[in-house]
Amino acid sequence: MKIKPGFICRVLAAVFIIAVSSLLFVSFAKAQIPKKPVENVYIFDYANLIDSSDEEKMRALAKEIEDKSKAEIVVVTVESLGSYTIEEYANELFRSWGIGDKELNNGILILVNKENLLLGKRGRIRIEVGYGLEGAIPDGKAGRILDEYAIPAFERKEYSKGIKDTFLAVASEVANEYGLKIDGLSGYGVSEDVSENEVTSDGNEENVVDGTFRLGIGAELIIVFGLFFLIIFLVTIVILYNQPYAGKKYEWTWKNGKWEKKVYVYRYDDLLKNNRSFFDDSDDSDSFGGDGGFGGFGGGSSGGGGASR
Amino acid sequence: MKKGTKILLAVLVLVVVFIVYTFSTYNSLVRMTENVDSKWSQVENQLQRRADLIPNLVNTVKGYAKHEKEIFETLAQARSKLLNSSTVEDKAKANDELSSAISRLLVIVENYPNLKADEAFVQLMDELSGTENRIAVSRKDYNETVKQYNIKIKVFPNVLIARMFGFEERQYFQASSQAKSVPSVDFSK
Repeated sequence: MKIKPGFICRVLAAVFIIAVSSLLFVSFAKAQIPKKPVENVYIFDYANLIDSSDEEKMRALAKEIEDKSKAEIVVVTVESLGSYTIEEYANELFRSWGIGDKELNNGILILVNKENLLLGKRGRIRIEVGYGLEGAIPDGKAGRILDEYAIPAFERKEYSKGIKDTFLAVASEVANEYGLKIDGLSGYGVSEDVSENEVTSDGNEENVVDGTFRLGIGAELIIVFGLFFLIIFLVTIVILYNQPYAGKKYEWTWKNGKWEKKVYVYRYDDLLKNNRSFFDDSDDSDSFGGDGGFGGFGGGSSGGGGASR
Repeated sequence: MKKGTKILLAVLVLVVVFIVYTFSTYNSLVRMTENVDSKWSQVENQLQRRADLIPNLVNTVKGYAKHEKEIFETLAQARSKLLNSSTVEDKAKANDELSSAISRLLVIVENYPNLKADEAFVQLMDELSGTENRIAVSRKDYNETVKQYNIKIKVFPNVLIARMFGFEERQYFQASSQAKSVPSVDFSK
């Protein structure tokens, strides 16, 4: 079967573009929870609620804590939750970003919903605690942190301060848990548990996120597209490889008293042989440790523990 | 190669393919059932935790609202029903009944502002909502695992392997709609 190589390339390009754009469409259609950032800069102020000085202070502390204990305390502010409850949103974000170390599951997410925050309604702030820290910050304590540090400030419309103080209280508990001595956390403790029969973590800290069984609809579509791509790509390669020629080169030579047109043909495998170097670009694009020295997320998980206000 | 040998070879290849397929499908079904079981035990953990919180809750409320005997009785009954049920469906039903009982209690608590402000009560309510959230999360995880498993044993050709080795469909953790009881608030008390 002889087809002009240019034609195949154009068809392939068109298919490529269609597939890629539909892929993008799929991911946009589902974009409620912010996508997992490559760098974990700890404070993600999408709703612009936090002052820059508070943000820097929190970021520095969060980095220090992660460096010393692998615990990741992440603050995210969003404009609204769409159709999610704050508990659902927080849990999905926590798991999709993978906050906290994979083995230790020591992540904490402080999620602030600007919409309800401004209305003073329930569902404005949630502390979501990873499996590994449920002993350090049980639900009752998380609730008390919010009551002591977040709500009073929010009622005075001091949103940035409320968030910062909540963060410091949480950080203080995490530092206690790991026996860390960190400046700037004194005075942010929380009153100890009131009832004697506090139900604490049952020690069931297994990492329940089994990658193979947690594909949502978005991921399945992506895989279908990926396979589609792959098949088109492979089929094209096979067809192209078997074309009789990849290009023609004309040369006029003088032969036997007249000009003769000589046609050089070369196949794609010849081209490949000459272009071996193209494929040797080994690029280790693990963009961990980006510009500011921040790494990625640890891959931890949460079981829904924590408290909301 | 003789024709006879060719045929023999082809048959051999088919047999090998079939054996490999059976092995891998069986193994992955085994793994999936283990996964379903482990997710179910997570759900049961959280249900147990919730059941454990109820006596504390009742005692705290009794401190302020001794006379609301009916709701305490309802709560105790719902709790023991949850602890005594064994199948997935029964537990789901009992869990929903306990939820109704708790929301009824909360309606009553609205009449006792001192109780609402009580520190122990506030902490218990946080623990309770935390537990309920954990139930929701583990229920979601469990149902997702069950779905994957059920699909896998129902599609062809896995269904043959599943039947052969006795893999059965698992139940989702949800109560059938008629079991949900509507909370009734008695204003005469």
